Amino acid sequence: MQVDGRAAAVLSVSPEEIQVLTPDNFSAASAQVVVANGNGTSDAVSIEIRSRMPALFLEANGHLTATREDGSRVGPADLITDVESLPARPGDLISIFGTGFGRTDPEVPSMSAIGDALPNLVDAVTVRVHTSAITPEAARLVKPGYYEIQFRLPQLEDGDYAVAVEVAGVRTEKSGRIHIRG
Amino acid sequence: MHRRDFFKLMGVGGLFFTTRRAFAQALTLTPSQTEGPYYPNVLPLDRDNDLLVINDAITPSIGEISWVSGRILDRRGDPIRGALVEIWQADVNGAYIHTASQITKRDAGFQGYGKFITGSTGEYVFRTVKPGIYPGRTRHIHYAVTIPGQQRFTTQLYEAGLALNNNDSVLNGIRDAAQRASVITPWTSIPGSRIGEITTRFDVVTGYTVPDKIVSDACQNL
Repeated sequence: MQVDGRAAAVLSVSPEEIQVLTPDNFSAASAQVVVANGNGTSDAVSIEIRSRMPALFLEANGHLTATREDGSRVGPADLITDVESLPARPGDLISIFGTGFGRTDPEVPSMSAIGDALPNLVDAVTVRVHTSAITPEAARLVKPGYYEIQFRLPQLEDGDYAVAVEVAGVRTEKSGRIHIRG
Repeated sequence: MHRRDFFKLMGVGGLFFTTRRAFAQALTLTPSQTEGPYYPNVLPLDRDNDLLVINDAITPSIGEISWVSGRILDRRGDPIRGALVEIWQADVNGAYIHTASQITKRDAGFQGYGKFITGSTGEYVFRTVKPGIYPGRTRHIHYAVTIPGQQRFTTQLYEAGLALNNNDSVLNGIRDAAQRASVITPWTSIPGSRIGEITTRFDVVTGYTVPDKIVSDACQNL
């Protein structure tokens, strides 16, 4: 797969979609995408390019893909079949995951492996839980294209709350949902 | 979080996201209903799926917090990805954000409109408030679903158990009883919530059919 003539790292291929990482350092606002395989080459399709376009990974019913420090899942008990999930508690340190959060320090080329020290996001990140604005404890790249935002939950009554993330003032288009029980 | 745990997490997530309902089912097509007069004539600046809070406001809108979710499906029950789901509704006072709204006393903290583009599971979710009731209608939420390359489809969602449903001309204008029932859903309390949230699920079954090539390929992967 090529984006403006540059090879893009392919993450996965399925009958409906190809997941790729856009090549680094695009200055143009749009690019032409072409897919090629043994059967030939596709028509070019134009895509919009932005330096940041944050999006959170969601599960069923809009619940966030979220974990605690020990890696256990956050969510209602029936969130995912055969996977144990537990509600979050106020004060818990929670990790949520997404893509499109932009540059890191050090920069990691899209086709490179990440070393042991996970690169932090360069731009300021704010997590919004309901009406609270929270500065995360960590905002970093954990593998190419996948970011982890780790933050401490505020004191909130038991309930489900909307969570959005802003990076350099750009907010995730969709809010996710976090399930809190004290 | 430990790196190994992260990869385990994404492995589980990957299974979830790629599972397909690829088998034909006898589903009731969601009936088309009028868009009505109050699709926002000026869209709000904040158009996300959280209608309860506008941008950075610290005061949420007034009303019963409601999580409205479901899936956008084709006529065989296959999820439709990339569908634009728009909702718009009255606030707790019965006012729309449209300038011609009958009720003019608006909750300034309510977004009134939201949108969501579905992923591979066809799921959508909105956080909103229970719509207020205004003269002449029962409680309802307006939907518009746009599948790429297809005509925009509009319908409305209703709360089960309301006496006003019996007299609503739009709802009762749906002649097919099964189709009429399909747009009336129970709105139930979320167990354990101390903030009084309610939730409802509404799958929109469109007349669209996901192309056979994709379905047959997906079956081979099951």
